[in-house]
Order: sequence, then C-alpha cells, then structure tokens
Amino acid sequence: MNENHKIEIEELLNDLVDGRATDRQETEFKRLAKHNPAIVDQLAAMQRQKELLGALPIESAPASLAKEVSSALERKLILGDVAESERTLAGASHLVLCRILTTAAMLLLPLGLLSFVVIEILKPVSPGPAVYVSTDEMLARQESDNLAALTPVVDTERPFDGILTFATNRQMAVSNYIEKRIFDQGLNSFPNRTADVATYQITAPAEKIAILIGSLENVWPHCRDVSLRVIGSSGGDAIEIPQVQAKQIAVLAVEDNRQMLQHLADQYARTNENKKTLFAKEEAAELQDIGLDESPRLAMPILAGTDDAPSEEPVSTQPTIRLRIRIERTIGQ
Amino acid sequence: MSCFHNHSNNISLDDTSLVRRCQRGDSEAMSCLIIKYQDRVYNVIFKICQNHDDSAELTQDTFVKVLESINSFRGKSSFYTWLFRVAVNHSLNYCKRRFKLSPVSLDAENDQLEEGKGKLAAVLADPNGVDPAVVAQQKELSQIVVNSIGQLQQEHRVVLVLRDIEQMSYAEIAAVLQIETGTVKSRLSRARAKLRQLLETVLI
Repeated sequence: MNENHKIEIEELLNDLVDGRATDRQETEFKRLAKHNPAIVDQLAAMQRQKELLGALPIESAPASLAKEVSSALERKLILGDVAESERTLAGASHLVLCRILTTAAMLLLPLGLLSFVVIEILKPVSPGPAVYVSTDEMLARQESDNLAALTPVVDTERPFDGILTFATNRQMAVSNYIEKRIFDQGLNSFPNRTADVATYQITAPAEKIAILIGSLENVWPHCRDVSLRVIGSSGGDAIEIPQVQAKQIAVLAVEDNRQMLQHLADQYARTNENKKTLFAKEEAAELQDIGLDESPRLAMPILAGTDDAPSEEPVSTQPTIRLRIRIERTIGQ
Repeated sequence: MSCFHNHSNNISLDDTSLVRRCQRGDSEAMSCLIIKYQDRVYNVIFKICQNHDDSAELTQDTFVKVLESINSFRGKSSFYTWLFRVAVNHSLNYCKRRFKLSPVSLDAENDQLEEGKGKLAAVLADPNGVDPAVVAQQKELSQIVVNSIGQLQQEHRVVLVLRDIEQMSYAEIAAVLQIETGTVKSRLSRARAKLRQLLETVLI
C-alpha cells in the first residue's frame, strides 16, 4: 500500500466518520473491508476518537469575563473619544496651519537675511556731504541745459580767469556802483569789503561778464588805474594788462580758446604799456551823473521754480568764466 | 438576562438582532452576545493555546475587538463565523509568539497521568469498551487528549478543534480560516491521523 493510497483511504474514512461519504465511497469502503478487515477497526477507532474529542468537557470562561469586557470597552471608548477629538477637523487644520507657518518661517528667515545681505552689497553708495553751490553757479546752471553746466564750475578749466582791479580814491562809491550793475545783470556776488578794498567774485557765462563789463564803462573815468590780471592755465604765469579798457576785457572774456586768450592778453598788455594814456582826472560832478552814489539793492536769493526764472533767455552755450573785481582805494592823489 | 428569553435554535436570527442592537450602542445586547458565546470561544481558544490564563485574556481581547468594530460588520458572513475568525486568528498570532519562547512538553504532563493511560487505551482500542463520553469527563484522561492536541501543528490543530470539538461544518471552518473546503478536508484528515498516532505513542 503506497502513501497516496493510504491518504485516499484516510480521507475516505474521515468522510465516513463525518457522515459526508457518498454511496460510491460507502461501496468502496465495503469493498476494501472485504480485503482488509483492519480498515474496519481503523474506522471504529476514528469514530471513537471523534466521540472522545466531542465529549471533552467544555472549559468555562471566567465568570467575570463579561464585566471585564465591558470595562475594557468603556476604557477604549473613553480613550477613543480623546483620540477622536485629536483627529477632529479643527485640530487637523490647526496642525496643518502650524506646519505651514513653521515651514514658511524656516524659508522666509534665511531669505530675509539673504536679501538684506544682497541689498547691503548692491545699494548705491551714499552721495556724501552736500556740495554748496553758490547762487552764481545756480544761475549758470539755469541758463544752460548742458550737462557740463551741472558740473560745479569751480572745478572746470575756464578759458578766462581774471582779476580786474579798479584803483580809485572813491572806493566806496565805485564799489556801490559796480555792485548795482552786478545785481542788474542778474549776477550775484556778495562783496568782501574792507576799509580800503572791496572784492567781488563773479562766475558766470562769458556773455554776461562781457555785458557787465560794458555797463561799467562809466567807472573808468573815475579811476586812477584799471588793470586786468589774466590768470594763466592751471594757475600758471599771469599776464598783467595795465590801463585795460572795457572793450579789451569784453574781448578776452568771450574768447574760448585759451591760447588765443593768452595771445590777446599779451598783446593788450604790451599795447597798453606803450600808450601811456592817462586817465582823465576825477571830477565829482561827472561821478554824480553816472549815479555812483546810488545805494545798491541787496542781492536777493534766486528761488528755484519762480516765474522770473531766466529760462526764457537764450541758452548760453559758452562756458562759465570767473572774474574777480577788486576796487582799491588810492590815497592822496 | 432578557437576551436569553428569546434563545432558540435559530442562532443566526438572534445574532442578527443582537448585532443590530449592539450597532445602536445597546450595552445589554453586547452583554448578551458575550454571555452567549464566551464559553465556546474560550473553549476553542483554550484547546488551541493550552493555557487558562492566556485563554481568558485572549477571549476578552476577542470580544473587545469584535464589539469595538461591530459597526464595521456588514453581515456578509454570520456573526458566529466572524467572531470565531477573530478569535482563532488572535489566538494563533498569540500562540506563535508564546510557543517560540516555551514549547509545551507533553512528556512532562504525561508523567503525572500514568494511571489514566490504561483507560484511554481501552477506549480507543475496544469498540465495545467504556463509553468515550464517560472517559472524557475524567480530568486526567481529558488532559492527555488536550495535551496531545497541543502537539499538532497549528493549522492541523485549529481544524481539528473547530470540527471535532466546536462541531463546525467544513464550510464554516473554511469561512473562519478563509481557506478552501478541500484544504479543510485534507488538513482534518492529517490532523486526526497525527492525533491518533500521538495518542498511541503516549498510551504504549
């Protein structure tokens, strides 16, 4: 009897024990029993084994089982309620919100620090202390839209830079007259006055300087000497023009070629030296005629954006030049 | 208790009613279900695990699990099948862990049961001998049988317990263990043969 046949017989006997055997299985069992009576004993033993197992006493559960189960359920329900409340939508939303805010803070804080560093690196350098620009310079800027005019004039290379000196025994009257003419021309220069000397420094377009000089022609007769000192380039050698005339100054002022300016100044200096022309003697009456005693008007500051801004005047393309007018008192003559 | 007033042979009908009441939160119905099945569940678990304390704890856990998830019970199988499925799976998982730590020694138990061996041998050998039901009620003899069951492989032991002790049908066993009926048949055949072999060894 091989192993497979044993298993088949075992399953056949099990079906018989369990009452699940078909008619064909019962016939098969009867056929086997005729040849092998031991199978009948095996079937009987299996039936008795089954009866024995079925007759085993039922183990009773502990009497307190139902109560313990109820208590355990109550504990779970209570703990479950707590856990459920933690899983509520509000709690979940709050948790999500907290997580989002935390993440945002973690991202934004480094970004903010990085931005601050980048801004500190890239921001433009502060312009430094403000440069004081005189009123004359403001005028010069208003008269020219040229970008070069915006550059502080004191730093530019001017074709003409001169010191015009009036020597007169009526220093106060001449000074007042000149100051009035300066003001009338729209030029502004506060005088630096001492007992014997008054100085005006004017920085303006050459045309304006030329017009100013032209308006001062009446001063010449009241001066013992009028000289012009043309400052050389970069403060180099100066040319002293004695007994200079107003027309000569006007020519030099509008000359924008420095070499030509130097040449003209040199020519005027030699010519005037040779002329030995004497100025007319001072006459008080004539002086009164030209209005030397008129009180000068105080210079008024020019406000930006005012209606009388000189924007309507022709725009000057000439560079600004500097002229210092010096009125010296002469004594005993 | 009131749940036993309607106790009848139609268990499924009663189970359905009790389950619905439990799903509505009726604690009395829960108690009824526990009392109704606690001994049968405990008995099966004990035959599988062979330990009273463990069986009590496992039975309690089984009922807690079932009643805790009673609302998820959709009635695709009977409550009885569902309950025993939970109990068997819970027991098998527990026993797997326990037997790894402390295997049961059949010899140690049998040393104290020499006296009962003769009676049990006579029961199995002589068809006209003592009534097996009478023998089974003798504590020492039933202990030998239970210990022998404990020597079976788990998958064989469970099928044997559910069929020969709990008296389940092949279909119910298949539903509880979620296996094919043919598998139940083959496992049962091997389990009975192995148990007979074990008992013969013990009794010789």
